[in-house]
Amino acid sequence: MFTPQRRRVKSTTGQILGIAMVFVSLGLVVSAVVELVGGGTGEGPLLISALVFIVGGVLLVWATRVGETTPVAVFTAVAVTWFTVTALGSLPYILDRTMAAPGVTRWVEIADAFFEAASGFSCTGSTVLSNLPDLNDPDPAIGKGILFWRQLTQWYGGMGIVVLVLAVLPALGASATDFLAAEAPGDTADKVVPRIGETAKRLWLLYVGVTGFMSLLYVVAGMSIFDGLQHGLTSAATGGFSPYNDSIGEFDSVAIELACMAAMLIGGTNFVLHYRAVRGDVGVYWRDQEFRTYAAITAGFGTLVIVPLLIDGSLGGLGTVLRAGIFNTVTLITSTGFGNAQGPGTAGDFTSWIPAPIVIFLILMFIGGCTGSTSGGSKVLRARVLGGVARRSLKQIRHPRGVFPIKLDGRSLPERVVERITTFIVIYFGLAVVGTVVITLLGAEFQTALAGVLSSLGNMGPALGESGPTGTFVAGFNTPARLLLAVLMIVGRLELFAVLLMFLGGFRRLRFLVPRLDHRSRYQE
Amino acid sequence: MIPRRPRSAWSIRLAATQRPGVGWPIAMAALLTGIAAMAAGVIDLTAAGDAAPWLLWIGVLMIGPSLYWLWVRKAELHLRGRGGWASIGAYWLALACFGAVVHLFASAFSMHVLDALFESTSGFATVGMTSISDVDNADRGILAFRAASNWVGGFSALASALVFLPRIRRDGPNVDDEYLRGAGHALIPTVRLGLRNVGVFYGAFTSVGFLAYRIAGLGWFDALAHALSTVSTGGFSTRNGSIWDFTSAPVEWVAIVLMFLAGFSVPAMWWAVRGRGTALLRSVEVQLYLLLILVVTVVASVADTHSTGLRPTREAVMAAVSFLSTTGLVAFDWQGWHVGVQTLLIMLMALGAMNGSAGGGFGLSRAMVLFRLTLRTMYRMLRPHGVRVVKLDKRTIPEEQLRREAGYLVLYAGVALAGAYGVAFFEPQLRRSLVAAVAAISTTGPILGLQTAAELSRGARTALVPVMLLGRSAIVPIALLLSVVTASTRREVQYRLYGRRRRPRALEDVRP
Repeated sequence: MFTPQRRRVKSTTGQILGIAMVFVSLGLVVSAVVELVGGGTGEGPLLISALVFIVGGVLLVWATRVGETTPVAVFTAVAVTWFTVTALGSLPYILDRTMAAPGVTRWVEIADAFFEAASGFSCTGSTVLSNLPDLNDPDPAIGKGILFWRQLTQWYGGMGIVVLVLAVLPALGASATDFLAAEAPGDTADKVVPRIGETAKRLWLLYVGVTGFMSLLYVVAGMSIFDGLQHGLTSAATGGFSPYNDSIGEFDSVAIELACMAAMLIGGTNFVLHYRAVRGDVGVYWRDQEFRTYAAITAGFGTLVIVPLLIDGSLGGLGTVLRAGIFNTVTLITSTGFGNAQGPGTAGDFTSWIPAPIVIFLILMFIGGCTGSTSGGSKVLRARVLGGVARRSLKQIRHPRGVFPIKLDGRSLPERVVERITTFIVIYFGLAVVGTVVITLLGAEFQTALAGVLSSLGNMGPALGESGPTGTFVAGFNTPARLLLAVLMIVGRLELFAVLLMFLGGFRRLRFLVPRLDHRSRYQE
Repeated sequence: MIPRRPRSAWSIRLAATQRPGVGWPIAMAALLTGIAAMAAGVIDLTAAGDAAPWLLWIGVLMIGPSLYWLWVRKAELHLRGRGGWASIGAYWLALACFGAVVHLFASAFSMHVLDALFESTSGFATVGMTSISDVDNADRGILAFRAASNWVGGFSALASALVFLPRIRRDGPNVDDEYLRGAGHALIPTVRLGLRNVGVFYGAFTSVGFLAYRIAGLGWFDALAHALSTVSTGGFSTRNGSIWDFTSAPVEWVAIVLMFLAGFSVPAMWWAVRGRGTALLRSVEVQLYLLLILVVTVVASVADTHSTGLRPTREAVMAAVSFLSTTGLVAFDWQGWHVGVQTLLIMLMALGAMNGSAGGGFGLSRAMVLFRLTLRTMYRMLRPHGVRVVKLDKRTIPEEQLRREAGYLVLYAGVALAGAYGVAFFEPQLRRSLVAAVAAISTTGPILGLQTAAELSRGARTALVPVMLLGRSAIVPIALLLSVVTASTRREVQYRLYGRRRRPRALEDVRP
């Protein structure tokens, strides 16, 4: 008797990647429609890419079935899916030759296309495109379809491609939680309902709703419907791509900037809190310790940004300082990366500011938004736990026999979670240090390299120097450096462990480097 | 019952309570600063300098009361619990303040108070940044006091790390017990003998350094000043261009060897001197120290395209050793090097020297412990039920220490960033602010983009003072001193406001 199930290859990675590709192909089709409706002629590359995604995805789904769901398999599936979708997601740019410029070779175009796709899917928002249109550009160099695809890549990456897959793949069973945890920002996956598939569905529905709400907010503030939708997509994802050269600064409107800040702050908040608030429990925000810390950090660090600017006085009056300072603080704490500068050297261009607020921005790049949100960085919860770890180390010295658990929302965090968070930070520091050294060895300036690495790891967007909010990453980094930053973006989006453990999982020496507990040891857990 | 040996006049009286007592550390800081000032005054007399009378007078003024406090009032050294930590913190603060007074006197009050505080802190914290713009023409007495302050700072750091802190923590020293107590060659059997052994070792090392510099061609004063500042990883020089001004390859090689040894763990060297040197090479920390020097040397010599012959290698070795040992003596123009090598050197200074050395920085053993912790966490993520420990040199690291090192990483990064923010208030360049903060907390000294710290604004230099002190004292002692002072002040204020009836719970924190 013919049983198709038996003929399939056991590959969890193949199955997840296949479904993800099918989902992403829908975005390409929509982008092609946008191109056609917009009167462009560049739908060809989008449709060909969609075909590649659909055929590849269907073949994978048809030929594979869910197999191993061990931790290594989970991390491998998530990391491979992300890298493959990113690589294939650069196809429209390559076929359209979006990155073509005088003196740019074909290989550099391909590398830049990968960078742009990685920046999109990882919700970073860094760009290599210097020929984005202005608001009323009669003859834009890049078609509307490609620009819409660029926005959509961030929207897909915001909630997570694998989360989308989980909504339709029941075969994963209990291990679906591990997949969710491997992709979701934070150390654990918050479930809104007991079933993980149902959780994924509801989170995506909520995400669609939030995107719609943000788009509406932009329209009310004064954007056109299409611009509102485009910016809504990247605001919900806290990505920061804008179809315009000067980002939000293109509109030069306080109302739009206020709407943008509100959208970014919503995107940087835990979506589980939004879900509960939508269900009627609005007080959940204030009861959540991480959200309170998020609010305090935004207010506190905003003040630390504004005070030196006011003392310096070179930026302008109080209004200008508040507008530029608060907007840039919010865009960086939420890891969105929108800019409100109207060009290089204007008030919103923080690369021209005195260095004190920029030190704060580097710290914000490291912290990022809340866990369970679409934002990047190391997350507010981890920063809070780290503060607890530092305080505890001092307390422990004063009271050597005391027991000081680290608490969150009134409950003690298990030591393993604390250890995992500490380790995350150690790896984050390590990658930042190694990345900065390598990129400076490749020729970038020290502060540009440092900010570029922090920006990529934290999925922020702008760096410093020539790659600031009004520049591109072509100006500050050469091609190998940009490729490395693109990889760091995905590593940062998957919160380090998924990619590292994909490679280290099969490394047998890992177990020898970490010796087993024996009864003679003085160690006691 | 074994009868207790009668105390000699030189015995250190250890307090029996946990109460913070800052008399002994302050008196000892005054004594050491006074001796350094008098020594500098005597040297200045030989050069007929203007500062000699001032230095001698302030030396007498400091030594007199400190001797009275230590031996007549019989001040006790508090080494138990938080009192011990507070004592260490108070000692470093006192050194910085007394040193500033000496600088003010030595300059006949022509130096700004904040500059004097900066110079003193930089000296005792073995940082080596200077606010003196023309060192070449500075008074010899002042130069001697700067070098002596480096030396006292280096000795204090060693005494603190090897003698006092293990005693205060009571959970063993940072370095392996065997280093200290193994094979019958105890380095630190008691507080007094430990101080004596460390002092003898440090003194002998300094003497060797002095002779080596002298043989390499330096004059006696330059040799002495550089020996004092090299073995302590301080980095103060008697020239504007540091030892580069001597344009002597032998001097540079002597400096390289001395800096290499200064960044080495003293217990490890003690072990080597006692004939167990081969075991050293099995130490992970030693291996990492050597590996980092090798890698940076190779990268820097490959990237150096300006020099010819052996010069690139010598410059590269010197850069690696100088920054890793956090000494900061330079005989090369690293400002003109490839930006990648510059970044590598900045990271090296942040990492710092070996544990148990006079060098500062984060510490190689801490970095290794955190690296092993990272591996364990990743292992646990793959095998959630696996039970694994973190070991370093076959020694299981207790969980408390793992937590402590993680906490220290956060504190270290936090202080560095706060310092960078403070400097950035006064400095126009971000890179300079960041590097200055790293150079200060790691107690290294050189700032990328500047010849000396005198080019920084006074505000920026003042912002670096607490960073240097916290970096030198490994943050915790001063943080605990502040917490004790805060708790004590809070108790006093609450007591005065509310009287006896509403005595706050915070009292429990400061009571013995």
